[in-house]
Amino acid sequence: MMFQDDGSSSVTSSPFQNSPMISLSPGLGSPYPLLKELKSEDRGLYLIHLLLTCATHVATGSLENANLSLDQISHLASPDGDTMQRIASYFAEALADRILKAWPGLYKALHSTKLSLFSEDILVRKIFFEVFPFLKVAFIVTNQAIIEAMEGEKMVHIIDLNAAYPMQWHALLQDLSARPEGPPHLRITGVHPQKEVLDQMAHVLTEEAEKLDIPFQFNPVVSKLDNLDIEQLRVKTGEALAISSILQLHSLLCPVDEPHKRSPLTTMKSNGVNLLRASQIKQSTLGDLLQKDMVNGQSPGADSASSSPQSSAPAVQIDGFLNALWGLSPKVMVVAEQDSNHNGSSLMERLSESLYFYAALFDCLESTLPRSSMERLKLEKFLFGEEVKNIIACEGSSRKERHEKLEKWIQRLDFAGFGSVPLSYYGMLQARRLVQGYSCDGYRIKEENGCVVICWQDRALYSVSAWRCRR
Amino acid sequence: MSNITGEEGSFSSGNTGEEVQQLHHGKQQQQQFHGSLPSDSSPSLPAAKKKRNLPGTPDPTAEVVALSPTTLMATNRFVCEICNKGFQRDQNLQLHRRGHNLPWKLRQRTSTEVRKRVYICPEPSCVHHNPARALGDLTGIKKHYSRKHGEKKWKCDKCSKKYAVQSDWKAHQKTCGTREYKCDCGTIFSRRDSFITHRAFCDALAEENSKVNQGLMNSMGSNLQAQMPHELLSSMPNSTSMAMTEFNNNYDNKSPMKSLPSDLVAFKPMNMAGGMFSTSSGTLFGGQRNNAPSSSSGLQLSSNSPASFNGQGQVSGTAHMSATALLQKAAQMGATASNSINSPMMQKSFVSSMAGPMMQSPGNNSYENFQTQPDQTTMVGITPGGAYGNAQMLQKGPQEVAQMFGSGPANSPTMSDMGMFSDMLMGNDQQNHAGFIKNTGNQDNDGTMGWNTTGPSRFGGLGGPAGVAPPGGGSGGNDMLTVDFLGIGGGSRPPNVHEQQQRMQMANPFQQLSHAESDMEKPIWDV
Repeated sequence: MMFQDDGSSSVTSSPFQNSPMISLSPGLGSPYPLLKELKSEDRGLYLIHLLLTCATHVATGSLENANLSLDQISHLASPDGDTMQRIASYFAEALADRILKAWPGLYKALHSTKLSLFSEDILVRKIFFEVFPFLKVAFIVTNQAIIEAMEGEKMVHIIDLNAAYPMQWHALLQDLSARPEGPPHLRITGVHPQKEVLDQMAHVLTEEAEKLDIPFQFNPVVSKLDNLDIEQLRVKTGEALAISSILQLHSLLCPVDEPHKRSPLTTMKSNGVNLLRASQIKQSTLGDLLQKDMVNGQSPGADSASSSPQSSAPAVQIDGFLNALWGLSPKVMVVAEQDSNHNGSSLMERLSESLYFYAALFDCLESTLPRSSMERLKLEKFLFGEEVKNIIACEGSSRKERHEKLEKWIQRLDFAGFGSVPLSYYGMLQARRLVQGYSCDGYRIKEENGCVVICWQDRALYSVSAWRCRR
Repeated sequence: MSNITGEEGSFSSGNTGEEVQQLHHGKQQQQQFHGSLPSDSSPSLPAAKKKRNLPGTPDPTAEVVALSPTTLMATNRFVCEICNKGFQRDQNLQLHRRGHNLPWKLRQRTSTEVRKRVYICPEPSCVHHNPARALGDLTGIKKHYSRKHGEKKWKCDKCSKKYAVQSDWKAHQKTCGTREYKCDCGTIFSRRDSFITHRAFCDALAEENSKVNQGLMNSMGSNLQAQMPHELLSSMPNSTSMAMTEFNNNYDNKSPMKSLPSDLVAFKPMNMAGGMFSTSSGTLFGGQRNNAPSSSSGLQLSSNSPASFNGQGQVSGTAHMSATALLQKAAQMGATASNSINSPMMQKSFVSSMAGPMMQSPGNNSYENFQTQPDQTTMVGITPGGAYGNAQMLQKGPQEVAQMFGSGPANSPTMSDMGMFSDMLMGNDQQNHAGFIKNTGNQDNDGTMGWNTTGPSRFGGLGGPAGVAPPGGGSGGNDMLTVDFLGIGGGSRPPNVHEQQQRMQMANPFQQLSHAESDMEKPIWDV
């Protein structure tokens, strides 16, 4: 639904004041046509208000009210509209998803027939790489850090924790072949849950290495990160190890799976009285569970670098994983992550943070691609929409998109025994050049504690940092 | 300048005696060709252009010659085998040899199977000391040795730059001061590439960009593009890097993108570990293309020029705010007590929607209301409609609405609800987060975080969006609004604690009473 944005200010006067009290049945139907006359700015503001309202309802379990908020949103939001309308439609979907989990049967029935198309995934990833500078900057910075760390090394082993982007290593191969001391013997171990992706990567890289006459080996490891067996990586002594983690570590911040997971809103939705009695009787247990399920999606241990074990704190996988990586003694490890806190324990916290973050991303898209662009729609729906859904609607071990701010990552990595490697001047330079060459003029590169942060206007979006094994 | 011929079998080609100078990697190039003699004495090369190995990777069948530093620096390297007299030039040596009246057999120069010689640098710490990295040209190794390990005896008088090799010095003198580039910030560059690089992150430039960027992203984008192509395109070097050939459709089809990597390729950083890094961004683009040539056509990205995007963005003029700006505005709207000029209507509707459910209990303690109506369906009917319906509410001023809840001391302003939202929206700020999370410090709950745990206890009872904020009287002080909202408050009303608590507990079906919560001590409404 397209809204006409004329500059008239007639909306400010009458429509709302004169209409009588209205229920929402479409029969009476009067307020909604009036809504269409809202200017885009007002509509946007109202959508924000509605989203927050709805989230509050969801957080408190007032599902009826949440439903009504969603209904209102549905009249204003649209995945084809302006930026705020699009954002609102995905956030509303996420909130609805969350509410639906209160009826597990319903939820499962609706989700069971969803197909996830493998080819769509690949395409969306490719679009993300091309449209945005984030991955390109991450690759440039990562490759640069690797090259610098591997100066003089003859045997180089790179572990790619998300081997889905062959262009990164393609570029590295070319850079390595132009090294003054000649290219090293290069081995790349790629980790990815899908075998086909790894096959494709192997093919592309082996071909390129042959062309460049670089001794090269690609080892695929078909595995998810959370059950990755470090032994499978086959790190040998005597080789210089580099690890590249692009937007992967945050998924390990989720707690280890608990068997008796309760859906967040099951107990909240219906008869409050029962709930009340139950809670009075068993305050410690039920309350705990409710709080944990509904609110505490994040383990307290992940909050600070030093995990303070609490009675109900679930373990997080990241610590063990980082320890294992540290045990491999990498010469350099480059970590790229979203630089925003979407791992708050309360829904409202996550909602407001992610609103800002994804608003910036949607703004990028608005400035980059036209509204009718199918690529844009795919990115919004299949990439960002899914991330938002995960952040808002999921809890516990199913919530993977646990982004955190850079300083938290710095703390965490420091605590795990890694020392910061400031990114090189030349790497920053290349990153800046890239971003300035972009047709869309809102991207900024800034440097923070030796790390590169890519921003849209002033909003930090993604960060890249390099680490070494500190003994 | 004479041509370079690739296949002469001997050194006597009739031109000046000096050999072709080979280009060294990573160093400042002195791109002059002094002579034309081929350095390769092997006859096996075809007429086609001599295949150049990567610098420093010599022909494996070549004979490695290690000369001592003195020999290397010696000026007379052509030595007569008969009398051991040394000459600087080969032709001079030949002339001299004629004088010895050699028999015909010995008159020929040494046989043509002289293997190609490669030379290593005598300096052990040098990369070229390794036979695998030997250089193929004697003059080259001599110059390398002087440049790297020798003393710089030649100095430019204009810019005081020093050189170890006289030819380098001469070449520099010719170009010193001839071409200069000046950045807006005042720095002067002699090299075009370093100038362009500097401009890329020069502060002055960045400021200017950001200023113009604020309002009109669109036109700025096109401006930049207008500026950049000129710079970048004209800086196309004679590089043969593969990145060049791979660039093509990048995401943005405009020339700046295309030439960007080429410029990086041209950029041979002086002190960097090597000029090869510059290819990385180019290859990224190019590499990507290689991977999926089929799908790139489907992306239609090249058809979209910024003008068209921006055109859309500009349709509604300045009324079309970005989502980020909208969020900031929403946050500000809540923070300021005064109504924003832009949309008084919105504010009213916000207020009324907040206040909607409140209207159910005019003037009374809302508790009663909730006690009798544990379910909220009746409320619900009003709540969403509150934005539109209830002209009554709308016409009442915000203050009146607040007063409906009883005159609490310090009626918090009606925008308290927006204030809450603004706190939430501004919560991305560190300080504000502290406001959110502050409650953890104060609560007696066992480690629960986030205001949800306390919030519901009040909100559940209220049900509607009004539940979000404690309108009227809830806050002991307006500046404590956030805190109050989070359930901390002054905690200064002990007498009311228990009865309030009980009422709340009964009234509120949704609250979580896992503990004797200190937040419950805080009454919402002060009657």
